[in-house]
Amino acid sequence: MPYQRHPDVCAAELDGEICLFHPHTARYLALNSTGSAIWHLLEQPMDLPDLVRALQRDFEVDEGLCCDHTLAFLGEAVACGMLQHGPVP
Amino acid sequence: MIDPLRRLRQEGAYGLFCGLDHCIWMGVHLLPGPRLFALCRQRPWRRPPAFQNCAERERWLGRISWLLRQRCRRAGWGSSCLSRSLAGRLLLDWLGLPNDLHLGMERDPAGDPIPHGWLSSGDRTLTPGLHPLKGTHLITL
Repeated sequence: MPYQRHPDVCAAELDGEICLFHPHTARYLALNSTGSAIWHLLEQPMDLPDLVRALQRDFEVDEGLCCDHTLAFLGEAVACGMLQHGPVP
Repeated sequence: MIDPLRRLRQEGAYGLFCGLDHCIWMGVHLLPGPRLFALCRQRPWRRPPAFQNCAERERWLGRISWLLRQRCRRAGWGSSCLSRSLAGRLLLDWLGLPNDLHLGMERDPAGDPIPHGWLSSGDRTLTPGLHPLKGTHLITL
């Protein structure tokens, strides 16, 4: 199932890094460069294997490591409501 | 030379505004984020415009702007950019004056991103906004 940005989340760029604000939970989140790259890729809904492939094109990283770190980031972002995981409406 | 009575009035108003700011600061810490955010959006305290006269409106905006400037310059513990902006918003709403609360993110001196809130009315910024190179705007309420 694809991951996608929560449509209500406000995002802006600060020195190349993405800052997020969720208006429903009133939570802020500042992403590091990798998180920002994932956020950019999720302009269109994408599932984990596609995301990992896209990240491997941009960063020289082992597939397993990339998958683990991406999954950890996605889990955290879904938990705080910045991303959604499920079928595209 | 400043009229002592006027000075006394100003200091009294500033003292009351400090109390309001401090109460809001405590509210910001005690209220759950979503509830606080909903209150900022709905503004149940808002009243219709109290002044028909443009000069009167400007005078009150100037007074609140002065209070906010003083508070931003002198505030220490028990106040934050958000509590000051909300205190200003509360007064402006009570007077029926238009205002916008902005939320954004900026970098602290150590380079870490921190949230920042500021208040404006029309094209007038009432509390310090973002440094153009060190911050980014996220949402206006």
